[in-house]
Amino acid sequence: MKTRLSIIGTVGLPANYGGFETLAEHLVTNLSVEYAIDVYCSGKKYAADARKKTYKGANLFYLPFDANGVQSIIYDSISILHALFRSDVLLVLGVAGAWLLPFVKLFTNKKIIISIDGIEWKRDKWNVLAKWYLFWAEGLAVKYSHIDISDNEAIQDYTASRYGSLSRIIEYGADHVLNVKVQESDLNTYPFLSSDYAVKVCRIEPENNVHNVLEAFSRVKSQKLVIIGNWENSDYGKNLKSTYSGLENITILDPIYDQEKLDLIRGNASLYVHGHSAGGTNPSLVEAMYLGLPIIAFGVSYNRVTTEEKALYFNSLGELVDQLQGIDDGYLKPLGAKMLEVGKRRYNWKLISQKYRQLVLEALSAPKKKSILSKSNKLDKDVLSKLELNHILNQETFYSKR
Amino acid sequence: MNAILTALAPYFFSVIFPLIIFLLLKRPAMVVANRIGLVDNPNERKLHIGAIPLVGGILIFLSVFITNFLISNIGEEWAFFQNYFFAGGLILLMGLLDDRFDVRAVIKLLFQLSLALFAFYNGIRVESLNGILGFYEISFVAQLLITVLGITGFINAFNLMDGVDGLASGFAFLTLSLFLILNLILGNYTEILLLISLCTALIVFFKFNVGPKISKIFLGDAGSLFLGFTIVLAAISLLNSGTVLESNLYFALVIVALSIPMIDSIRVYIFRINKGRSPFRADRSHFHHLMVEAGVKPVKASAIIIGYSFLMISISIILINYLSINAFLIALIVSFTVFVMLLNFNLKISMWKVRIREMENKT
Repeated sequence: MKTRLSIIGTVGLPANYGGFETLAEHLVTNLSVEYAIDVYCSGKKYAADARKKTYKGANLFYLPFDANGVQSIIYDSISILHALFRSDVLLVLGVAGAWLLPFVKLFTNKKIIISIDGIEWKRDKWNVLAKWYLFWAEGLAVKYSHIDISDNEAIQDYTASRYGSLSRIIEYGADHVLNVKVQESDLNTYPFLSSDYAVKVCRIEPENNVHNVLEAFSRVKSQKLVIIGNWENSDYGKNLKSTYSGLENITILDPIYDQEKLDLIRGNASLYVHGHSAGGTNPSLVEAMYLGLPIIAFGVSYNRVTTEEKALYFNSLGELVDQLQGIDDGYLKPLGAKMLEVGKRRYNWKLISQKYRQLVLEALSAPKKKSILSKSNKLDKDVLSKLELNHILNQETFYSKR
Repeated sequence: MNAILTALAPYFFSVIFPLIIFLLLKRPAMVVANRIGLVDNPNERKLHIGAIPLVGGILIFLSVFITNFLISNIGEEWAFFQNYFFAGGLILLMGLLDDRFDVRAVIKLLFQLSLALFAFYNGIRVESLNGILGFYEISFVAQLLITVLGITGFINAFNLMDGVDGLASGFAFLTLSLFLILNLILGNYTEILLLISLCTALIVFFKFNVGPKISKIFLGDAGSLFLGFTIVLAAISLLNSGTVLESNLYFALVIVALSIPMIDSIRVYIFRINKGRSPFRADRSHFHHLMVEAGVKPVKASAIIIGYSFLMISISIILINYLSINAFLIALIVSFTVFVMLLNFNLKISMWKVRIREMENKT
């Protein structure tokens, strides 16, 4: 009999939304021959007539809750409870349902693999109560899972130093992006395609540095910027749109859901600006790398690790302006090639799926989660200091010298 | 008509006089304070910027003292006022000396103990425990011990509470206005006027205390000792008033009102002893510190703590009808523990936030 695997915490399949959904789609594509996969989907996002019973060999279950926001707690919890009756391994994406995990671990022998998805509790979009819950739930998720996944080396450092857990790093794939050539007719809709331009695609939120990027380009008039996002979602977006839409070198576009159109605009740009400051490995950055774009990214550890320190970085408005003013076509091309090389090597879905398969096998065989801390940490500190053996506690861990 | 006006006049004056006196004396007091060095300079435990005059205490004392001297029927109430302002003035004086020269802790403590004895001698006594652990009327020795311990304990706890802008004065305003309402119900005319003038002076002080640096003043030890003394005296004299039925409510309310600084300082003492430190060595573990460390703005931290006190008082008014005094005390301690746990949890989150920011910016 096939091992039964549940994928919990995505909006659902077929994937129309973010990183987790694309991941689920590719896991199903690559692994459903080997495993019997169940995927939980949000009935709020799939109308009754659009729902399918199976998709690419996976069973789909629809729950009448949103997969994001407060309702995700109920959504994930019910999914987990349901999956306990059907599956051997639960792949939980996100920590919203983690309050159940101590019980699952205590009363069942189901294996849990959880992906904590960045440091959610720190993000400005949550209110205080949500932050408190997520902070707590993240702890439960790491402590009571059999394997926990970070999508980025920097997140792995964090879970190691906070929980003493060795997170596995699995990133995202990007080989679903398309190489689209510019056609004559495209120039009418998007006139900027005829010359060089920088592109940025993101949710319009302060943590993505949209304001800094726009301000930088408004100061460096020689560079063109095309920026795509959900401007009407917040006052922040509306204000930015009205402030900067008059400028000649800045083109502000509403979200584009057609992959081909989006990749037409992204793929033919001469520079990709990545302002994300939160989360781990951002799918949009990975996709830009796979498109072979030269990248200038916000200089947080996540982005540096994702691009293997080979891209350009900025930490402030001033640094971005300097970078833009000093742009030289001579090194942009090799930079794009480097990004493509990293992307092809690390960010393809076959590889990612195989890594998940490894984890499923390990979860089924590994009896216990190991701490990265050595056993000497369990010794009584007072006794050690009496014996003048305190130095035993001075240990370097893998993340301290990275 | 005239009769009504005459009857209302003292209330009117007890609001207006402290206001005028405070505002009139504030500037001269600040000038003098700056000249003689009665100012607070920042150090690693103190958060403010620049030297701030420590004149809040003496301004509140003077405006209340002069007001009551002018409006009260001194002839009839002389004993009360003499005792209160005598003792209050002494503790204020000691506070001023401490603010300027740093008096040794032992001397301060002995001084407070003798004032507590003085109050006890003048009839400010805890005579009954209203059923706590089954005790009602208690013996003379127990009365003495509990009263003296309660007065010095609260004065010190309140003194330690004065750590962020607006907290001590806001809390004093809350408790004293609660006591004012209870005294109104009881019809204690003398205390009413005194409490009204205190509340007015506190509002004026609060405004400057949380205001911009140029006109900012602090309570100083003088102010916090004097206010702590005032609050605990007003509290104990309420304990023995009212009918048996009412006294249960008063008793509970007084305990709730006083407990918030009390339990917190006991918690801090225990925490310090557990860490192997002297319980009297200052650090930053009071609940207002926990909040400020977690990134809450000082004035907001004050608002949260005062709001919590207000909530506890309001809940008590309802709960006391359904709970025995012992169950009530347990509920109080549990709620306080939860409150502190939440603060600690919040502090942990903030610490990790800083830690993560460091990790993110590591290159």
